[in-house]
Amino acid sequence: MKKTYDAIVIGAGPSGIACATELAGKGLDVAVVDEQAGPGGQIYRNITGSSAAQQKILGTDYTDGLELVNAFSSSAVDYFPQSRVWQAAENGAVYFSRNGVSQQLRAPNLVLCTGAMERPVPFPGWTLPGVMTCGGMSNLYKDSGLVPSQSLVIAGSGPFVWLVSEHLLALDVPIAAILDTAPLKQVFPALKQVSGAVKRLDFMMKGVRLIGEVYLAARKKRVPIYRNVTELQAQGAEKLERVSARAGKKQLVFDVDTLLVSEGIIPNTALFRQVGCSHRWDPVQRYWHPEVRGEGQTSLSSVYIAGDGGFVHGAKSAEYKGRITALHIAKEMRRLSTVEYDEQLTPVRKQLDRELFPRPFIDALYAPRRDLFALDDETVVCRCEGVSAGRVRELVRQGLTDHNEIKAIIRCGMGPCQGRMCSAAVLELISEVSGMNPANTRQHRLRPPIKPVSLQELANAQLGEEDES
Amino acid sequence: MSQGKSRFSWSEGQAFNKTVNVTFDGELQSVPAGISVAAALLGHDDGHFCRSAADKEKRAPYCLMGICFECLVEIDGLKNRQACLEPVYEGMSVNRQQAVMEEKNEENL
Repeated sequence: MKKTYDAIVIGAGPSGIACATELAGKGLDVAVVDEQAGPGGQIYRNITGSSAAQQKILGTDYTDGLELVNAFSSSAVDYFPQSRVWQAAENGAVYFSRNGVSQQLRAPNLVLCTGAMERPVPFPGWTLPGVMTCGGMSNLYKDSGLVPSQSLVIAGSGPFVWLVSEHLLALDVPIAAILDTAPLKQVFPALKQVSGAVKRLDFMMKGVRLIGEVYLAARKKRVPIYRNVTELQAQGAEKLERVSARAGKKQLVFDVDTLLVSEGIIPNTALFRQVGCSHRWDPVQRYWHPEVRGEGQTSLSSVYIAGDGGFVHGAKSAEYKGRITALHIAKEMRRLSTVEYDEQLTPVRKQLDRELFPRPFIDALYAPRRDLFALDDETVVCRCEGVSAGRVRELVRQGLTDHNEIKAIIRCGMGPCQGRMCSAAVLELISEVSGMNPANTRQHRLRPPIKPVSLQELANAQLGEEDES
Repeated sequence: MSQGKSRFSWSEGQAFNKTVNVTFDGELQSVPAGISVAAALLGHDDGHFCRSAADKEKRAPYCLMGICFECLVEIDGLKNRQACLEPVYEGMSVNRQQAVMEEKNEENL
């Protein structure tokens, strides 16, 4: 079996498939390695297998991906679905597990298209079965057409709350309440960024229309929408039975067995941290993201980023970023002259710029609110190892300000998810107690394998003869 | 297909002409072909997927996109499979993962 390529793309979301299709079109040998069973990432999940009914509910934001996925499927790319990358290295080696067998591929260019994930925000009871992310619900519907049949609560802030509300209302799912946790006052600092947003009034109006339509549909179905919601709690013994929250002076209680939450989208940086790319702290959206230059270059010469894994800008931007990185690699590999490169880059760059105009406004409007991580001491931060916010604070008070050291002592971030779910909160707790700017803290590192691989599998690994050890 | 124990149901207009047979903890079930194990199990009953490594608390999928590792199940004898990333296939045997302790003990031996 083929082991070496000109480029290996990790992730088959919009950026990964756009990048791989473009690279293959330029005659490069490309492999795409992805966790899912089919191409499309989270946004275009199961697009070729979805029913007409699903496509109607999900709308053009979803069906727009069809063309992209079809182009990818008919390209000359070697595609490895259901493959979990558990290690990538600066020397161009990629190790992944597929059907219980590990193998290695190599390329001088790695393009990491890991995409985005929901910002994991702990709150009391968030580990109870029945509490899920809005993105998870959306995936479940795209995947299988499964919808909640009993009353549920949707809580959080950001566009995703409204998008999922719109879909579930259209599906006649019984909704007990929609709880908007975005503080109203955040509109004012966001207005500083409004000049970019007005260049894309069409985009802004789409957002306004979406929220308006949810309000309208909710009123028709007598679904209450509460604003400025705080103190969200999930309660129950062994599973979710009740959701409580506060809206102004009003105490809210709902007897439901499903709670959908969303507090924004952050880059999925696990693989970048394992490979060792330099990261930068974004003080507005409050997340670490890999350092990235204009064509997707990282701090490592063999490693590129395309898409939301570098910074969250949405599906369309991801597609354009994927193309730009592909053109750059094709130029570097001498498949494009400088003249051809400039000619082909300019229109894509224009499309990307157009997508980016409103982002500073959106980022400021939906910035994590100041008290998002003001956790009670009892709240579980590390789901895997059951570590509470109070125990993390204790260690920070003793002078520890490095998540890696805290992990070594209280196992916070040492479980199966390897800190993917707790590192955002641990960082905020470190910053809260020590007063340190997060930008000056040491980032939580992941050690390979970053996906569960049994010892048996490692022993049987088909890693190729040229593997140096 | 839904047993009435689930808090989810298959939406109308969703035509599943193909199904596959899988077993959940030994119980034979017919589920739509092509869906994930996580969707199949959520549509089957209201139960949990695994117990947390530290507290043995019941856990179910949180993210459904490969990040949270709260949907770990045993598939055809292989432990620690992420149910949200595995499509169902004919004859698949899925067990809820209760045995995190056993694995830890094995490590210690």
